[in-house]
Amino acid sequence: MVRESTLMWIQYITGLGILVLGALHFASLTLLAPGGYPGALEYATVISRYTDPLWAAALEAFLALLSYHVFNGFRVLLLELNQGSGWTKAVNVTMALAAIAAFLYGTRTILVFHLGGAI
Amino acid sequence: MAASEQKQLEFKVPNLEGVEKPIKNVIFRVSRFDPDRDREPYYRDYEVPVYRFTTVLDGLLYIKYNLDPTLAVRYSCRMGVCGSCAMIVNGRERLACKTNVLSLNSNIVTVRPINNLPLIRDLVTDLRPFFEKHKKVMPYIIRDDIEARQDREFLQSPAELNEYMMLTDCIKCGLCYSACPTTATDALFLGPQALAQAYRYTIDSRDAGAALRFDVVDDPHGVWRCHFAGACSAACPKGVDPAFAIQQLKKLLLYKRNAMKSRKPAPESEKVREGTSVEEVLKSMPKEWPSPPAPK
Repeated sequence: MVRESTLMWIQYITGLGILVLGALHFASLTLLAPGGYPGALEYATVISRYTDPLWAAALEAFLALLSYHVFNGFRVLLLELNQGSGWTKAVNVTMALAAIAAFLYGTRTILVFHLGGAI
Repeated sequence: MAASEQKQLEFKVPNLEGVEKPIKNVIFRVSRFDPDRDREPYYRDYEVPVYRFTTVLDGLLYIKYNLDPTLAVRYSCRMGVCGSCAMIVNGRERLACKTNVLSLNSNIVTVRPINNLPLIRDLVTDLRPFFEKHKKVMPYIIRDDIEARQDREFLQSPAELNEYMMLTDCIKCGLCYSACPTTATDALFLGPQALAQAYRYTIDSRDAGAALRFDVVDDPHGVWRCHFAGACSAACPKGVDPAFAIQQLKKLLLYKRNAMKSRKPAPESEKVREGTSVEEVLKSMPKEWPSPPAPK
């Protein structure tokens, strides 16, 4: 059983990571886009980011941090809204599975675009 | 038996007539609830003459002894020490005995019981969940040799004392517990008072019980559920800062867990304590303190 302090320590670290990678993500789609801000959100420009291995890796890291931070945050909210050992177990398992599912689905999207395909 | 037929109560609120005149009459809007009769609390108004030094508790006792003897209110010391008269006055957590009615600057004083605890009657709540949580964090010095030599004291420097001194002012009134937004939704949350006391004893240089207390507070309903709203510190009538203590406790768990667990507690003084030994006092104490009967 993982200690609550360990879970929350990761929560804080992922929060800081999201701040950095999230800023980078939005910057990559606007100010840092090839050709600058005008036309930054055009399909070809966005796809060019996905095909670049470094940007794709940054996106994947961003996704990993978000998957943990968001679903652990939900877990905390739900445990505060209701109590009971059955509820605690159900929330812990559901949120862990949801985080894994969100991460895998997001990874699939990043990989598909990285390999030049389309969904 | 009708209220008018009841035996006259012996206690009287000091009669200030002739000494000074009441400044004004104030409406006390008091939350009433009789579990045998009412399904939910309701407010009832009483007119109370207010003098310069009338406190909210004085007003409530005026009601109890002059207008409605059925009013239930818990109080004891009347000087902000025992913490019994914690209640919500005009929307804020306050000690009734420390709150001057005129300082509220209102002609209506609304009084209701504190939040987050089961209501027994009128303004009286059941404090047992609050004290159970307090007990859970082991609010006493823990060390292997504490039972061995009861005639000695443990050495502590003024700086070490200052680490937790502010937190010793806690009177366990429950106002912080009432103000805490997390306690409002999470019934298992230890609450600001218990967590602050966990920090107070853990940081005490004479204590070696960090590992035991960390097991209690490092829980899904423990210290991490504090969102640092700060309502506990704002509500405390004694200037204790539980919000600060809770953040410090989080810091201990993250950065000093192992150091605190292996910390050697302060040594014993060489000086033998004079007077009755602690062992003798302990022998004369009852093994279990009598508890009041549980409310229906």
